[in-house]
Amino acid sequence: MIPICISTVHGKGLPVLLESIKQYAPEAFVYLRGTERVISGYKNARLIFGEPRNFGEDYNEVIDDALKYAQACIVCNDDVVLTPNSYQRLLEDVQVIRELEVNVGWVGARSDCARPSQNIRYNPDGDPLHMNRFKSEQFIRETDNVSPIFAYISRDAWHHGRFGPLNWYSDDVSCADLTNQGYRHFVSSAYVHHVGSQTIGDNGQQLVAEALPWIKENRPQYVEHFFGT
Amino acid sequence: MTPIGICSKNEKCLPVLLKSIELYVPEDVEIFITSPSIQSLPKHKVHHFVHTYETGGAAHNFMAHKIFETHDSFVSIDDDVVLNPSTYSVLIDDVNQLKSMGIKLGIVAGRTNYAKGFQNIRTGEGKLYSLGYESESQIVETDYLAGIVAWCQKSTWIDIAPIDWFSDDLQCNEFIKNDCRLFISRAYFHHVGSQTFGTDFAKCKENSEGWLRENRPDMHEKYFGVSK
Repeated sequence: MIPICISTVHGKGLPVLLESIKQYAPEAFVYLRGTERVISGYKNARLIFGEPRNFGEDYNEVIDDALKYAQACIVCNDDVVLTPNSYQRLLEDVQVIRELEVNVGWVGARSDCARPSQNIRYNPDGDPLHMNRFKSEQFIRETDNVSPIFAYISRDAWHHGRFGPLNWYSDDVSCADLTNQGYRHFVSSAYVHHVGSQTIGDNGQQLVAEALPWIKENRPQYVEHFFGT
Repeated sequence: MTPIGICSKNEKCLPVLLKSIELYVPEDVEIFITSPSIQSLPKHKVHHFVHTYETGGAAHNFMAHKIFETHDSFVSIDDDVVLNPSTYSVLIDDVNQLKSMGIKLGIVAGRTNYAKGFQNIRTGEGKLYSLGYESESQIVETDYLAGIVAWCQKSTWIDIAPIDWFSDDLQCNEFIKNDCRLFISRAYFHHVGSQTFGTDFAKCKENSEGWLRENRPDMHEKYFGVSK
């Protein structure tokens, strides 16, 4: 079974996420990183204790650990809630994609709080609502970027797309690095609820400013694409 | 504090809803639940009633009347909902704002990912920012609401028809006839959807047809065309 990797800072929404995993994906083993104070009470998970640094470094640690044992994992934000079929649908879509494409990078679920390509409000084909959803939501779509709110990554791909030590843009850097290695990314028909902005806040200007120096120094080739400067 | 009422037939999604209540709803809010098995919460006072009802409408009516024995209003929550940290507080803030304007309120309901009409976040208006539409930060008046997460009050309450599909349409229609107004709140919640009645929508529709034809021929014609 494909494990689920979660890193948390304050654990605010974590009990709801873990309850949804228990109810809807009990077969999935959970790798959980956070401070001892926040996560030590959780059972039935591999606990990795550590102080919070940033999204990229914290997730690198927990994903690296999971992928020592598993061929792939699902990266999951701590303020996500699974629906009854999120886990199963995502893995079914991965199977479909892998039959058609060798170099699968990120495969991410759709959500109610995500960048446009994964956001259920996004309706590029101008579909009418049918039974409360857009028709396009039932299809897999190729995309340039995936936010790993609830997203699959294989061990092979991960070694080419580990996160930078960033909050914002850690996912953009990973996707771009993988794309440069020939990997392709997809949006799945799976859906998860994402509360959003619970850990690093929503001050976009500040979050961009924090990411810029590292990207300028380490991925100067992405600066123009990400920031338009 | 305004209590919460939940009716659950199969309890499939109830544990996740209850976990979100445990985390995000103030501890002095009383929780009323009808469901097949006993439910409890570690910090909230829970009033539990064993579910013995055929339709969601009948269960909700039972629940509403139980709550109105001790409270003037409540927040009705479907059992396949998950609350956000701010759902309850924003909904109550919006109700208080509308009440302070002297508006005769029918129901005030939250926005969600799975509902028909303007409650569905896909139907937002204005600019689509990266995470949501501009209109999601506004209270909007409407002529139809699904009571998935909805505030209602004793003074204007109208019993729900003993059917599943169309019961909310009928209730909204009656509210409007009684000069009660319906509003979509800024509050947001997650709704799994179709967990009780399933996704055979033709069957769901058909199940309500007989009652509508017999009891509300006007509405039967509206939803099914010419009466058979």
